[in-house]
Amino acid sequence: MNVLKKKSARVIAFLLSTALFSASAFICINAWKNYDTKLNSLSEKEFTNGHEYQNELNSVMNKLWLFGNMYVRNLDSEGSLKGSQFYQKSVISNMKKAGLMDSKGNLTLPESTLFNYAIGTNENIFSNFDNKIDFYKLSEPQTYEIVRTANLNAYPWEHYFSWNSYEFNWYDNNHGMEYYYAGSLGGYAVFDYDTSKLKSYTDELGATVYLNEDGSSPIPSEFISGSKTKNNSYDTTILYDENDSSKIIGYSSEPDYTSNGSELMFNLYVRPIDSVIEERESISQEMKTAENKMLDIWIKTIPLWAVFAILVIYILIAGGYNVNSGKYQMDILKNVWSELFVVLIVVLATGCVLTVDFYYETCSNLNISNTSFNAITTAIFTVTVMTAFLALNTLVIRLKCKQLIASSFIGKVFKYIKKKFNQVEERIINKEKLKNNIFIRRFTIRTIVFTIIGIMTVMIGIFAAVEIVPFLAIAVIWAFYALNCKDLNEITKLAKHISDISSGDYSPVIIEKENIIYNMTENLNNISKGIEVNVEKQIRSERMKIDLVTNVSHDLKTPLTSIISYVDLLSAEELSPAAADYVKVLEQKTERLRVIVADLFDLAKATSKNDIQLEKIDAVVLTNQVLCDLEDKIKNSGKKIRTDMKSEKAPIMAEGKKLYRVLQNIIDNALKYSLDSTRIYLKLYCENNKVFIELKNTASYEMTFTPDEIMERFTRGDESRTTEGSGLGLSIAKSFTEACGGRFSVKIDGDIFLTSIDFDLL
Amino acid sequence: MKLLDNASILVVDDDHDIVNAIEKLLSKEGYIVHKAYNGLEAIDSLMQNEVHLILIDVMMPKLDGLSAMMKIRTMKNIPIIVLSAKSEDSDKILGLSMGADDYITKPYNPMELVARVNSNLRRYLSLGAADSTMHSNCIKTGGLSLDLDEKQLYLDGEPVKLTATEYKITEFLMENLGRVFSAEQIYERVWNEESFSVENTVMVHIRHIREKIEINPKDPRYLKVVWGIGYKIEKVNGGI
Repeated sequence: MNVLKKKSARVIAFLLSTALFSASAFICINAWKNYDTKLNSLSEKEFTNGHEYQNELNSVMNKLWLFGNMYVRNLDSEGSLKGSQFYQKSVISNMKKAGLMDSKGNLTLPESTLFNYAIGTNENIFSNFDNKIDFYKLSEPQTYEIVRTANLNAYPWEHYFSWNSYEFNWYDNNHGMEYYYAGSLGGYAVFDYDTSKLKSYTDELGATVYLNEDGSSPIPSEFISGSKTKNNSYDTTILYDENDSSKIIGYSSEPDYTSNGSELMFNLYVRPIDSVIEERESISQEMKTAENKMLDIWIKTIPLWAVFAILVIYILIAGGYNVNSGKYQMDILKNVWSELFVVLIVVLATGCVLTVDFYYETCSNLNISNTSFNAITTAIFTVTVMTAFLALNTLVIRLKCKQLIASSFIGKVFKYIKKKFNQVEERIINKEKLKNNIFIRRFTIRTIVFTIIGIMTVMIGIFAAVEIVPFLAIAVIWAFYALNCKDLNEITKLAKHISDISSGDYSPVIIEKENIIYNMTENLNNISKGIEVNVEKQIRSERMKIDLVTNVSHDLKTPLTSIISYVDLLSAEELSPAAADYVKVLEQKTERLRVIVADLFDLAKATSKNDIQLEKIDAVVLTNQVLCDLEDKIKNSGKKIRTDMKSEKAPIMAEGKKLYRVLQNIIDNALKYSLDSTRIYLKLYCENNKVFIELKNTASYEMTFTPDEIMERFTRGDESRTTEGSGLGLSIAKSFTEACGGRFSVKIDGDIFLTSIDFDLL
Repeated sequence: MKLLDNASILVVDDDHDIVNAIEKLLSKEGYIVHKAYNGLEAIDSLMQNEVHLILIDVMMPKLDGLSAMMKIRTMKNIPIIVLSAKSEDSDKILGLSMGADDYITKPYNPMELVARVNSNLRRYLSLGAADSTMHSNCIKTGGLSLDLDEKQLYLDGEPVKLTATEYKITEFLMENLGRVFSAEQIYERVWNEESFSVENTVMVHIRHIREKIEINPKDPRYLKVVWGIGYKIEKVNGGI
């Protein structure tokens, strides 16, 4: 069995099946072709297929129909015409016109050499042959429209007589006119009243129609409600004059096919003469023989077909199996869409069916020999069927690999859409988000629901009351809008809550538990509670810090007071020179201690940013005032300050006292730490709506600190800490500047020390 | 100066060392010093002794300085100087508005303390009567008084020597007590000239005046610099 799993086995099986198919097909086609040839030659011999036969049949049938309707059914049992004198006269006139009666009034029945016919009622029978005996036995009396003979039914072709009902029309109305239309024989109108003094015209079918001079209907009143009325329920059609549509020329109605009045009945019997029938029967027999011969050959090929079928089934089952991997695998055409194979099969099948007639015609027109025809047909048929089979096999392999849909165009498109959709879904509405994001979840569900409602609305619009749809659509959109607005409103509430917290309102917001923002609001409440607690803590600790500094500084001040007092008392005593020097040192140090304590207190206050009273002051005036105030000190230091006031006025908001302290500190600093015989540059200028006060000096020592370090508390230019000062100068300057809303910065460039203060101009 | 001799001063502080130091300091100036260590003792001492001036601390046990001061003010009209470690402006304002005549922050400069004591005593003892005999054409603020007729400035009753320009500046500012004038305005009014970069000129004069009328020029009581704006002479109520 392993051999059968190999691909080579399948290839061999395919080749074998192709050979088998072509062989059996050739045999079958050959048999059919022989039969067909025989049939054609027999058909050519068949007389009843000829025009002569058909034309004569039609002609005889037409005449007999007219004869039966117009004459036979109007005869009484005596064989003379029924009806009024006008009617009889009109019938006879029309019979003459139709060639069914000669000028002397003798019937001239149709001549026929090919058919025997009989027409008549029970009493009156007309025929062109003598043997009338079986006329009655053939069938029950029938209406004119059913024409059958028992013998003809035996023939293989039911349409032996071509009898198309539209070629024959008979109708009458209840106003005295009957109308016959008999195909090639034309139209005949029979009137039941005197037509001798009437105007007349010939209608498009050749019948003469009468009317009064004034165009009115000439029908006498006795016929309008007379006994000849067959059925009063007929729909009547008004016939108008062809030339003058205002003139009514008559009334017509559909014939009463349901009526079964005995006066309508006649039998019609038409039969080919015996020699024609015999010839037909012999040809028919020959055809049957040929057909049987063909079928015999066909039956003999069944074993071949069976083997072919087994091979095909084997290929379909084993197709695509890979022995190495033990799995089904797709072939080299795996990238071709599945639909193309389906289309190929369909095209081949329908192509065969649709072109078979054309092919047959072409072959017979080209006079191709039977042998060539058989070979070519077999080849085409084989190629077509085997190609379709291969296509089918490919599809089956795909089905086995479960790749039929995946490898199809639709499948690929679907996969692509699904992939895109997944990406979109991941990006926008992935499951995690849906689970966590309450707003997106609500919005998504809502959108889906409203899409469905919207589709239903459109459906209603298409199938039902159209007028209501615009209003429904507006209502749906409005409801969607309103629902979403509600959510957005909640989000706005959240935003307000956040902005409240941001602006320092920590009071909790209370909302009902069912609200979607309940959790978020609770979280915000917790946050604001936390912030509130922390802020309170911070304020408390800030206050404690100030209190601490105040208390400490008070506690420092009291002993300091004593020290100062006693040092002072001591200095007034008469002391040895050495002791006097010691007292002097004590004086200096207590003074420095006093300064440090005062500065520390100021700094603590400035950092806590309480107690700032901003007013409108002029930075230029202030700078000048400070310079004047410090004039003595500057003079004593032996250093020079070069001032450069770039503007006359610089109004700012600040606390004068504090800013005075700032300038005093930085100038003090500059005086203290600049190199001897260098100059200090003070520059005031306005730029970008700000006023800058810059102080630049050359340091008398190497500056090894960073600007940030020097502004720290208790950091001093010289690390020895021996000179006067608290070490808080720049720190106080920075704190005071910032407390007043300004900015304080220090830059170090080599030996150049630059302090800069800037304030926004008013 | 006779009256100032033998004047008796009550020193109240819970810190004995400070009280003793002040006692020594004031004794050297010739004052009689009474000591108390809290508010209640101060009031007792006041009842038993004749006292011309009180130096009182704020933060004390039993009865604090401010409360004691309020009680004292119901009985006596003598000058009270508050001596406190509280250096805030608000503390000073509170103390002064509760009846104090002066406010000295700890740690004080002993010289300044003595100067302020002298100043207050002088005003209380020497000028108490002089008040009524003062000319009507006279502007007063605290211990400063300017006699417009004599064109003479008195500080706690003592004449102050001023140059012509200094006098003009003082007169201008005294006539507009409490109002702040920029250097330009002062220059234009005093020199009667168009002003141009006069900050220095004016400031120099102001400094000189301050040196003459202020006990502590670094912490002026009357002639104040309003930083970044200008100058003014403060309107000081109280005194005698």
